[in-house]
Amino acid sequence: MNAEKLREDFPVLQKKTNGKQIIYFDSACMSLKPRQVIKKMNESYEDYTACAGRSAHQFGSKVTEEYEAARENIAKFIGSKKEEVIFTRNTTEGINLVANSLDLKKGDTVLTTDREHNSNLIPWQVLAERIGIKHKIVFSKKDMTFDLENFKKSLDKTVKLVSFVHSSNLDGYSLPVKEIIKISHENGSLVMLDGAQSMPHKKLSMKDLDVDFFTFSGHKMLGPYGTGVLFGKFHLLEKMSTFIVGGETVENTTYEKHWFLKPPHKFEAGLQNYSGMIGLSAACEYLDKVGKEGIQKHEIELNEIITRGVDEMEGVTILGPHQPEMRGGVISFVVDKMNFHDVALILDKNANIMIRSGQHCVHSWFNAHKIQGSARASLYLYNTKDEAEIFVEELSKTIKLR
Amino acid sequence: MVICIIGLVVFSILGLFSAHWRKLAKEAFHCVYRTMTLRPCETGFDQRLKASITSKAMGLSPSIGKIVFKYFKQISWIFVFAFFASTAAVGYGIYNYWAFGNCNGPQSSAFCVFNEIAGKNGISINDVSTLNHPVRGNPSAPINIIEFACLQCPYSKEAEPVVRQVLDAYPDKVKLTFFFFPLPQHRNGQLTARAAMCAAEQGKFWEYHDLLFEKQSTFDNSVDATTAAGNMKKYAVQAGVNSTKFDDCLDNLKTQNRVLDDYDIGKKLGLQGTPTFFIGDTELVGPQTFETFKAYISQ
Repeated sequence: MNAEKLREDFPVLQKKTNGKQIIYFDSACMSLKPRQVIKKMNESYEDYTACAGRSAHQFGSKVTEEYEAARENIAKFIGSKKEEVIFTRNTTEGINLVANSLDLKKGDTVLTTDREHNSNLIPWQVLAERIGIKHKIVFSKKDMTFDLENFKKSLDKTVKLVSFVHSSNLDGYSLPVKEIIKISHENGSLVMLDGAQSMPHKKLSMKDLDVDFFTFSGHKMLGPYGTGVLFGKFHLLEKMSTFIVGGETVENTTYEKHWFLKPPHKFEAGLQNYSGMIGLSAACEYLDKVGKEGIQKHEIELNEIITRGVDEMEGVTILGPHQPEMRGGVISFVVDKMNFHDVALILDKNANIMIRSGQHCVHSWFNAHKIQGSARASLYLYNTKDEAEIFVEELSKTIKLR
Repeated sequence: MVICIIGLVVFSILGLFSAHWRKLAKEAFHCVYRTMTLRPCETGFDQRLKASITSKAMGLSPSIGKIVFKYFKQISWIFVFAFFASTAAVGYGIYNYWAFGNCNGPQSSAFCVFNEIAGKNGISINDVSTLNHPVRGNPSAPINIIEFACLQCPYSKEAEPVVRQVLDAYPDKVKLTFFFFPLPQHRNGQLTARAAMCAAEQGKFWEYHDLLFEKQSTFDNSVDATTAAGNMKKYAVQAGVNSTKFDDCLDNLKTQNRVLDDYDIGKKLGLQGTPTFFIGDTELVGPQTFETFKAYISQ
């Protein structure tokens, strides 16, 4: 993988912002977009704007064809069947769909980890309030790695769903999901993975994982805003209730009745984001061409440079496991006696380095650990060793302000 | 946070010229409002300002950056106080402009920064001898108004009718003693003082004084020194002064020194402009109303 060469595909990296090249280290939140994705999206608007699956004219046929080709392409990318790919707006919508359609009953238990994004926490809290499901948390070990023993102890026959974050956006740590899925299935529990942070970086096959539900976002993997996917095993999707209903979800209706389509269409109500999904499909093709194994290796190499640099700085602590290979492309850190927003803003203003600061939508973890927040650098395929070195240098300058 | 107060002022002023700044002014206002209602500024506006300023300071030198970052709150407070102090000073200046007019002269529309002549040098009006200075009115009158004036000064001229009215109203009670205080911004001020001093030598001070006020426009700042000197001589003749003696006196070093002696006294008294009147210990700057004089005389 040649990052320098790949950068040429990203228009924003060819420009100067405030007279300088940017260093974009916030890909865990939002990835940059290559021209291949932008081109495909623009094409759909410029060349064949129409309603998919409804209008029979030539534009209608073209957009239907491209949209369904996108579904097939994305299915191939994630190692699933086409019918198992439900288009959503984002990971959050995928989780909400499962939470609302799985027909959980009072007394059913849903397990989550102790560092879930709000999107995999609030839906369960709401269900607990509304219908009385039990929401239990599996706490990590002291070194912030997954506590398998604790997990096994938490499993009982009431656990209907294990809904875990695959890779955490808090520290980049990835759970041992294969083992978790195997153990859960032995207990008769379904497993859903929040793959927002794993799908952009890991080579994954839904079939090999044997996961029941997997949801991810397009915007973190070179795709457009407002695009996401929920994968679900077909036989489960077939049984599940609908979530949002209306146009495009039904075969036929009378004044009294309706007949839903088969998955995935029964879950995709209303006019869809065609150009977005066509763009997301282009993003998958791009990632496939580059190769995710190479991307992950590259991110870890850069993470090693940054971790080494940060280790030499006094009063800077990296959250999560210390080994870069356990954190992928995420370096979340706390600077003693310096506000995390100040760190991020000064890097931005002073060196055009963009990182995230705050609680990264994992408020619950920060509150439980009595930490106000952290600064987070997150890497992707277009970042370079030079950028990692500049980041270390600029961070060390910034923390000297204390 | 305090920095938002500065931000609000600066961006509001800049906002007059561009919508970009108006947006920031709005954000600053929100932040000030939150701060005043004892809530944190949740938009991060204050932190963004802090980061911008710190990064600029880091550009100058890392140590300046460090000081700015570390003492940001204190520095912000200093700026807030400086802002209120300068606003008060500007307000005071505007009041002075309204109350006393433009210090460049009533005809000038230009602003002037008040010419600081000198601070008080330890003397008071009571230390000043009025001997050998022109007196108008009854010399034995008990109340002595001392006037420091410049004959080229439009305000000194403006003040004159009221002075005359006062002397007429209190013929046995009030007299006026004249001191020269030719202001540096009046290019012919020194010349008029020397000329009037020479007229005084011949006992014609007041006639000459009145004539010069009448003809003030013929030796204002637009008139060069040679023409003005010619005019001085012409008016001397009109006032009934012997022109040979007058001409000798005008360029005499002694005359010049006597003018400077008066000016020196004015400086030591810390005068800020002309005319300045003293009634007893009271100092009145600028043209005054009859009522003002009356009030102090009645005391």
